[in-house]
Amino acid sequence: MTTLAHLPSLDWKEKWLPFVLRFAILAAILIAWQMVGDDSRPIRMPTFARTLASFWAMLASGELPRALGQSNIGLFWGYLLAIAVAIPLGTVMGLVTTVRNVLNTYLLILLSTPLIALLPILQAVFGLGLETRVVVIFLFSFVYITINTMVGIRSVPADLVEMADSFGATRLQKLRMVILRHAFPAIMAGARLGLARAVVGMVIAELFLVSTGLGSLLSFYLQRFDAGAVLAIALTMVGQGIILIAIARRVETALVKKW
Amino acid sequence: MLDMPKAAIDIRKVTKIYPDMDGGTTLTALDQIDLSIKPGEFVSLIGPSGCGKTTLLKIIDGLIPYEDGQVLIDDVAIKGPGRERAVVFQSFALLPWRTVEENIYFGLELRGIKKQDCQETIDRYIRMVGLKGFEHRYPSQLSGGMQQRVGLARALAVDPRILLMDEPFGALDAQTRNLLQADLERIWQEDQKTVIFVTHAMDEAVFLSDKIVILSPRPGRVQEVIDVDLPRPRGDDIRTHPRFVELTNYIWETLRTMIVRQPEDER
Repeated sequence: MTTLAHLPSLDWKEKWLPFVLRFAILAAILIAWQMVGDDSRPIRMPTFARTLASFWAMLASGELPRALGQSNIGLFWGYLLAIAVAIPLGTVMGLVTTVRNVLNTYLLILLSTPLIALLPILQAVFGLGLETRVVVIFLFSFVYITINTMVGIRSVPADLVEMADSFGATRLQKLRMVILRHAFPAIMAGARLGLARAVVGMVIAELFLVSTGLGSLLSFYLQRFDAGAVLAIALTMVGQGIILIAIARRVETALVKKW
Repeated sequence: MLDMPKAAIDIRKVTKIYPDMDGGTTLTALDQIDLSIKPGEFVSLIGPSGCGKTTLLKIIDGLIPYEDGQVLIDDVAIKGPGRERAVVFQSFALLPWRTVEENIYFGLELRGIKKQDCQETIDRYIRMVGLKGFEHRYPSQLSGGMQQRVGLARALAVDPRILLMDEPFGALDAQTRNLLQADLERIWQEDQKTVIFVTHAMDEAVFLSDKIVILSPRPGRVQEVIDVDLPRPRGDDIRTHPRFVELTNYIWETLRTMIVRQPEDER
């Protein structure tokens, strides 16, 4: 067909234009930031250059890598625990009406509780170690993953399950090949949401409870009124969040391909 | 598969009662249904909505429990779905994340057959239902008619002796329906499986069937069994055959009295 001739330009528009625009916007923000910033005193809004300098300094001194390592250990265990509990729990709640009716209320209570208010109690119970951070991160993220999983499981069309039944599928085959597969996008959406919540939980635990990791670094520079370092740490968290979400996407695509 | 014996179905006094949601009264969906289907016969179940034709089909497949009676296949009472039966669904019931080929493979996969060991079978049914060239499309990329071709191929691929079809062409437009009816007739001619076909379209029932069972609603009962004595194979020209028109009209007259008798009822 003759219409194929204009495809390359379409390709450019679809593929490269968003990329170029994104870069242009980023450059504009950085330039504006550099102009708005004021480096005359440490407490004033830092320029891009000062923020970058603080970042390099903390990187070189080993403060930032160490803090990242400490934070991520808590994040890793807390989030892993949340996934390990939430997906099976959400699945059972989606499948069994009685379990759903019993537990739904408690999940909603947990969902609407300001967890920060509970921090002193958690501290009293779990002390000041890694466990407390893991528990806080777990509590912050697992409700979202559970609810998304449950909703995903419940949205599986009845006729697909009936179809599997008619072909003589066993319970396990039905769960694996139809129900969980159908709910997978919803479960992954919950997992991503839970990840974002886990990062929030991680920072809150480090700021208000166990002084360690990025949170303790943040409060250290906050007390010294070093706005450049504070901003650098905050942006590091943002960067880490973007990387984690990207990893989650990769995992999702890989799992879908294998299924 | 050449000498696979065809299966006979015996339905004996099958009764299905739905409990009423509001408590108190119950709904008798099927009342002592007696029906005998010969091996290799093409039988249609037709009736106004609420006559329990889909319920009866699901009972024959073993998908839902029933209060009384028995369903026998070759003189053996059924307990749940079995390998000698396969269903084609009104809603197609395709898995949206699977391609055409993978959907057709589904039933074989459940039986633990490796894909490379049944690729030939899959390809044969893809050709039979006219989906060559669409193997790697997803259901969302296909028209309704083509989706149901996938549903049909999926059912045929497990080589059932009995094909249960639940208003399979009900969701399709009239032209697509005519095409699929002709294709189904051709496919059925090839190995003459025993078929039970639920429909509400009178011409469809006459075009395809050896026997048409008219069910009356509330409670669902066998009203009449009609033998369709039209010659086979049937092509599109049979639709203008005087006997075709006569039978279609007769079924309409029978159904109309029931619908008039039950004006507002649903289900």
